[in-house]
Amino acid sequence: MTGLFLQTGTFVVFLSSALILVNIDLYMNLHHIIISIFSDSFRWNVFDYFFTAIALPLMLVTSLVLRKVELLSQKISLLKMTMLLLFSFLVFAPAFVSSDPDFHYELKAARLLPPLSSKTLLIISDSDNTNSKFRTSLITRDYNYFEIYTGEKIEISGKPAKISSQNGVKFTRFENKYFAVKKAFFLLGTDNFGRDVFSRIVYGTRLSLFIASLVTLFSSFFGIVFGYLAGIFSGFTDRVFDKFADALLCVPLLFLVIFIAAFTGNSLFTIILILSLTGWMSLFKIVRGEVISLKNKNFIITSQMLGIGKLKILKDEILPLIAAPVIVNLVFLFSNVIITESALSYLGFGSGVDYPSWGAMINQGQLYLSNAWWISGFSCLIIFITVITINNAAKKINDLSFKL
Amino acid sequence: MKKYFFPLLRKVFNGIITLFFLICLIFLLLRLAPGNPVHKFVSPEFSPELSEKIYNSFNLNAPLHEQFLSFLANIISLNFGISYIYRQPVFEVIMNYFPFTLMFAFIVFFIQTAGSIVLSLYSFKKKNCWQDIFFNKFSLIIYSVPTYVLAVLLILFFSVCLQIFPSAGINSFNPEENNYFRFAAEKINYLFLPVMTLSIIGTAYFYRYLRENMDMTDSAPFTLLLKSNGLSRNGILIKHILPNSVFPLISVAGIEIGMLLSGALITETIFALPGMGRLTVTSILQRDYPLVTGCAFVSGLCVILSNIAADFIKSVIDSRIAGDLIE
Repeated sequence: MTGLFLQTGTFVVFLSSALILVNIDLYMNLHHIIISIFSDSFRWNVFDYFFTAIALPLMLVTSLVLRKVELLSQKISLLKMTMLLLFSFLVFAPAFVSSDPDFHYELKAARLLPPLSSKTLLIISDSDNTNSKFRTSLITRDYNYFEIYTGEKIEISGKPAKISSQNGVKFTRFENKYFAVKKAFFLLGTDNFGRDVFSRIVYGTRLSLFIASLVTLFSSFFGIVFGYLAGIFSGFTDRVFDKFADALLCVPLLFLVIFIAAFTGNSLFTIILILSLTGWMSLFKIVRGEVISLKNKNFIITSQMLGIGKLKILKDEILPLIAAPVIVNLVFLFSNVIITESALSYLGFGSGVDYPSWGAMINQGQLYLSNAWWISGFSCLIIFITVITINNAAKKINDLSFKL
Repeated sequence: MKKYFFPLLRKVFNGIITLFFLICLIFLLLRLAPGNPVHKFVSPEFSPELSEKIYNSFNLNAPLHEQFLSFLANIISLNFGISYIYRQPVFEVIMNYFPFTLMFAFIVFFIQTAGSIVLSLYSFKKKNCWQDIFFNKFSLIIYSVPTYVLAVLLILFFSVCLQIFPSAGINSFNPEENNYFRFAAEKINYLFLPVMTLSIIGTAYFYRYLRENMDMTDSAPFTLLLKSNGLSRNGILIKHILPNSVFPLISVAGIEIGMLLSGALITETIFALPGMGRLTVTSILQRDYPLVTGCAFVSGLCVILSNIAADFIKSVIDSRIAGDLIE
């Protein structure tokens, strides 16, 4: 009991410290967040703050737990490095990118720039502090949801009076305005709207992995619970669940998902819901089969005779025995969900309309394939890397479970 | 024949129950869908009596079970209604698109089956050589490439860089002027990339199954007996190992052909092919509910029928499992 208390306490402390350290902005914008949660329009940036604040302490806790089972002290491999990279994309996405994924650089200067190109950027500010509100111009303009393309003519007159340096950026003062020149570097080029492809890919990783982890969580719940129910109550319940799963399995998964998405609309949360409602069948089949084979074993019957509840039998007796196939299935489900989600965004059904997403980027870049291969090329590459990493991890887990 | 009859009947009965569940799901989704289908046909300019008449003609005021029964009766008689976008009966629309998918699916299926058998035989003969290791790794890599990624990469390589094959479509501008020879050449030209996309992934998928089964059969006791009796290696490979390792592939192939027949959604959309997959995507995007229902039913039917066929073939080959086809 005290252990649980301590764990919860540590978690809360981690959470609050992370909140304070990482996202001081969160407190600044708290009223915005509360408004946007209860209003209809869901904003990704706001969610981003929340997600970072929750995921960061979770990562600390996981690393502590992993150290306990000595997974961190193992040899470094390519697989682990890629997983770490993807995971840090998920958690620290803002730290990797230099510009917001939805930031439209000026089209005249920054449309379809090839990879590894750089442009100069003029920052105009009212004070020489980089943290204060500033405006970038000449190449980029003020980023505002309503005034992306509006900018006024800037007249520079008078002699440069004062030069000050803040965070590595040199500011020059003309009369009452401060100007600074900065290099903007585009690692993977820009797309047709003048947005940085690299930051879109990093944020797309975050979206995909987030959707995949939530979907895996939900569908593992559905699969295990339905499978257990179908296995333990043989007869009519079993038949109904089994035939229902068969009916869902007999149409292609993508077709089913699009079919439901056509009726419910495509926001982020409906996509998660649909994917988790259509992903539980294979896990259900595995759990059902295992439970049916285990049901008549002596130790299960003994526990039932002793009057142990059905839920406790599932938790203590059955789940540890079927853990290996279930985990392998879940990891494959994870990669399948990533593929399906990208396919959905590719076809225009997913959440890629509102947020940066791999599938939407491939679709967008296909129009510019002849003169700007990097838009879809790098999105293809990151999908491939992610899926192969997860599949390899599943294979490793499978081999481990056979060894045991 | 009698031996296969009752298991087959049971399988068909199970398939019918599964289809019934699918129809229930479609009905549920259609009823839960936001908006009223009547709104599409009623204009504010109509007189209230006419609107009332149109509303009543849709039979939406009837109790739910009566609606469901009429829906079921219509679907069983293959009467899905009239498509909104094509303005003709859904069954006719599907029949316009289905032949292409049938041809496409069987070409892809043939290539992937033949290719995987040849490749796995080759790599089995070169066991533990670099060819074997290369094919194993490569199939694992291909296995985790999504269809659309491979399609985009192939377009990038063959259409944009080399400019050999067209990136989309099925016909050139004036297909009527072609003679038979040029017609065939053109079809091959246009179908090369989509067939490649699907069959590369399918070949890798089948290859992994086959290769694993071959290893398992190779270490079985009867193979050891055959080897110790002095039979030739090739004879054992062709006569004993290959049939035994193809056998578990049949049910996988049944699922695969069903999925192909119900339309390769993404491939057909990328390459703009006139097949079931693209028809489905279009119908869903245009909210053409009768056509969506028809496509869902046909694809479900294809998957179930091909599963039944695969089980039947399995039971004909190995009559031991004819009795316990199901469960």
